[in-house]
Amino acid sequence: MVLRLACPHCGPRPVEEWMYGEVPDPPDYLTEADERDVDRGFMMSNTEGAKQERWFHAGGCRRWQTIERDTTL
Amino acid sequence: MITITKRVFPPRSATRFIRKTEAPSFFRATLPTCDDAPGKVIDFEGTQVPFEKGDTVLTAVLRAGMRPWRGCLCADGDCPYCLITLEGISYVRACRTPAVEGMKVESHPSDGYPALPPSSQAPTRERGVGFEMIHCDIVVIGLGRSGREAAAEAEERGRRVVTLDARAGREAVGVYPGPEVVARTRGGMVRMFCEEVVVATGSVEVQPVCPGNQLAGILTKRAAERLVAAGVELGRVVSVGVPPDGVEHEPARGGLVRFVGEGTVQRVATVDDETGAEHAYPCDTAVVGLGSGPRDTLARMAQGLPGVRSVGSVAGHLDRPPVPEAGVVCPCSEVTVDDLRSVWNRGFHELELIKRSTLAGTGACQGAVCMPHVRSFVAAGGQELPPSFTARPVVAQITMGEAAAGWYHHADRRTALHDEHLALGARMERSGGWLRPWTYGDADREYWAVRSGVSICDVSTLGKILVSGPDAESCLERIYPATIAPLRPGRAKYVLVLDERGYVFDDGLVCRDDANRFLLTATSAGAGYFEMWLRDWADAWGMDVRILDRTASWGAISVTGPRSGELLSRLGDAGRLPSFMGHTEMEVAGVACRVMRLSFTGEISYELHHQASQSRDLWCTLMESGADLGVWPHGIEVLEELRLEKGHILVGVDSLPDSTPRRLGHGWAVRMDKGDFVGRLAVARTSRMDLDKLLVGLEMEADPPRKGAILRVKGGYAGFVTSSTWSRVLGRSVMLAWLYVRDGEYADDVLIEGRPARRVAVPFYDPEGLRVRA
Amino acid sequence: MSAPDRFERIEATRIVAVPGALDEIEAPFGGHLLRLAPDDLLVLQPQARVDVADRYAIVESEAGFSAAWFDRSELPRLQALSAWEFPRRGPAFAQGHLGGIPVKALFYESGVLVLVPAVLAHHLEERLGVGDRPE
Repeated sequence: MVLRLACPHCGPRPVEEWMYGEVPDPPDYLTEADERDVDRGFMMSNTEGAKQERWFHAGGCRRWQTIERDTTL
Repeated sequence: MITITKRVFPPRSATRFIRKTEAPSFFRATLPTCDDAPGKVIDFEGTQVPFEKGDTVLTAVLRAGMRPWRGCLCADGDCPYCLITLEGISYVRACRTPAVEGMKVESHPSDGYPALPPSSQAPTRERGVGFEMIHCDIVVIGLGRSGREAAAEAEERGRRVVTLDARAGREAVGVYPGPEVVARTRGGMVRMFCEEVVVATGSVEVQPVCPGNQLAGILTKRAAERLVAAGVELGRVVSVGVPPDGVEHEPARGGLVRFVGEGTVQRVATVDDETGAEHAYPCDTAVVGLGSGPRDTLARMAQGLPGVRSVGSVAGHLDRPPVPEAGVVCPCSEVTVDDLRSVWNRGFHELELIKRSTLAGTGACQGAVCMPHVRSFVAAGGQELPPSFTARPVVAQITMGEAAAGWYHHADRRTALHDEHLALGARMERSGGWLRPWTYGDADREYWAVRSGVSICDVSTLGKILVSGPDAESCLERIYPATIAPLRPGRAKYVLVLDERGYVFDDGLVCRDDANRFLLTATSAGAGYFEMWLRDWADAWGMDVRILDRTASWGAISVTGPRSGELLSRLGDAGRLPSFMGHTEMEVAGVACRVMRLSFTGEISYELHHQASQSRDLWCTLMESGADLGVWPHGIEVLEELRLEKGHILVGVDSLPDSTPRRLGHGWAVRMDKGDFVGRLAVARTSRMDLDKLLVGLEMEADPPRKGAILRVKGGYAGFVTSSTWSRVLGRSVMLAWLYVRDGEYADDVLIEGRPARRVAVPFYDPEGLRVRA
Repeated sequence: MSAPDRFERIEATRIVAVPGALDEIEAPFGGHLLRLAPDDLLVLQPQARVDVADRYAIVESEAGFSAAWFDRSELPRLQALSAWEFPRRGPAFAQGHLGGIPVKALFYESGVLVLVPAVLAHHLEERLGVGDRPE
């Protein structure tokens, strides 16, 4: 129910206080600039496992934090 | 609306729930107790049933000699048989419900679908389910021997321990990452945040699966022991398997074959393992001791979660029951052994597949009855005993009110002028996360105050963001598709905000204060998102900027209408009022303001941005000083009409999620001859494509069409209306609409709601913009 | 009376500057410093006169917050509405959701000063039962 994210400024806070920000991550097999660009704009990577994400602590310091999260937990 | 109902139960235990913490707790709430029960009764389906101290509804009803529940009762919250409807709430277990004087109980309908409560039961705040959050070190679920030991050990170490015990009305319903435990208590729902969870839920008894297992009068071994200890008469008892302690009984030899009876069990049939001979044992009550398995629903839910461990029987093994041959396996979903064979023969050989295809294990008991047997069934098909299927929250039936406990309705923000609007008779509406005045009651008066006199409007909700720093200009150049560098201090510029896909998601103004400092505005609904957007990119580019959101801290009042300058000149230095698309700092009525001259309404407009603490003074002074000019505020309803007559788009209302500037007719707001900006690549790409749809202005006679009304060209679909209004000043209806290209062209004449509409240039009103520059 | 009647709008000073410049600021007499973010400081004093060693600093009057004081005895009730744990000892600053509303809070041994965006103060009053409680 609660995903807790550790804000470097405010401390651990429940996910309700945060806004999610996908870090676009075009896969390596896309080599053409156009393809990579379209992937960035339209595809979610939906990584399984540890993943770098941007989270905005809307209910606290109102700053973006880059947080590594294991999506399988 | 959700009907929120509250369970009010008496506590069965006076044990202090939390030690070494000061938190107030539902577990210490004073609720009616069932002490001194003699002579008291509950109403069970119209029958007055007496009860004794410590009785549950189950005990009281069985003691009274009634046998309303079919199936093998466990009296411990596991089986799905003793369900009741209590005070209108269904799926309540009689064995978990302490008897309370006057309690009205009905048995749960046998088809599983209780009647909905009458619609006259309107939801009220008073019936809301209580909610609280607790922070502690360790949560122990289950107070059997292992649970008590774990709790005692942790307390010795000085940890803050919270204990949960379903029998005492503190029932864990979910374990989540964190770890976090959610429990239902008699005072409401509790969320517990901790470092460690100890699952000590003990064991669940194996239920009999054979013909007749849905008859009344069957008990598990532990149920019989508990009920007899509570003084329940069981009559002539026959026991199968491990015999109950402290219960007078006749042991039946051999393996269980079937129960026989009409409604209630009358005989138990067993088979001698060696001779194969069947024996029949007449009885009033059959007691089965078939062993037990872990009560591990919560443990399986928490599988793999850091900080959660299982102790005691819950971590133990299953007394594997014999392969079921006939009878009901899953009483909740009415799944028989034949049904299992049927899906098996169709190729469903895995536990999860069998669950999905038969729904076995998805009902009220969440597999407590059927799971050991289904696992045994799968293993008999030549496979190993499969692990139990995944458990998901919640493990017990909770009400909608309990599920919603602690969740708040979205919070609407109020401007500092909220009370002023109410005093003027405004009808407030939700808009973009704010409560805003929709109308003050007379739209005509509001409209003409703007068009021919002077009017004020509370625009405090506008996004307002200060940006300062050596990189401020270059940061904004990359945020916006417009050029920022040529903007001089004291001037403002209209800008679109594009995402990386080249779609417009916000618009606003950029006001330059000096070389390194800007004020940005954003739409009321989009301000929060825009702040995130700006900060994200500033971080990504490593820009040396300082950003401060002033949206909630500054009030803003728009003074608009041909006589707005006249009103402001009474309250401040008229010579300092800015020209069109200019802004300046000056005092108005003694209030320090940033005055911006722009126009959303189509008339001369000044926006006065100021400290929110002074909004009321400023508003009242404007109303008083302008009284002889006929000043009157306008609400959002009229503002929408005014802006539509000017053809100003509202991003999010007129735009679509895939609106490029070109589709919106705002190609002029994008400069491809400047450096890189967010969305530039996408704009370059999409501008090579054919334009398939266009936001256009349309007008028609008589009443405006509904928003969303469909445009037709030659009988075919050609778009839809996004905004429409009757224009009081033009005497016809005007609208913005998405027009799709048809047969290679954009039609000039379309049909909307069966009436003709013409495509015209926007703005509809004052196309040369003479009025706003006057 | 340990519970406040209502949240009142307060006048303060807001400074956004490079973190190093904010580190050097000392609390003015009678004022308190709330470090909302590494580059964001709230000084609980109207028009605080502070020197900021950052020529691009944004120094603004801040009228966007309402505040109320809760005595120590009120703390458990507030904590039960918060999914994060309050600091065990004061003085300490913390921020996060309280009853689903974003707040800034200064914890002392004797109680807590709760700040809330004024535009949301009415919701927090309702959720905390401020001014609407039996004696």
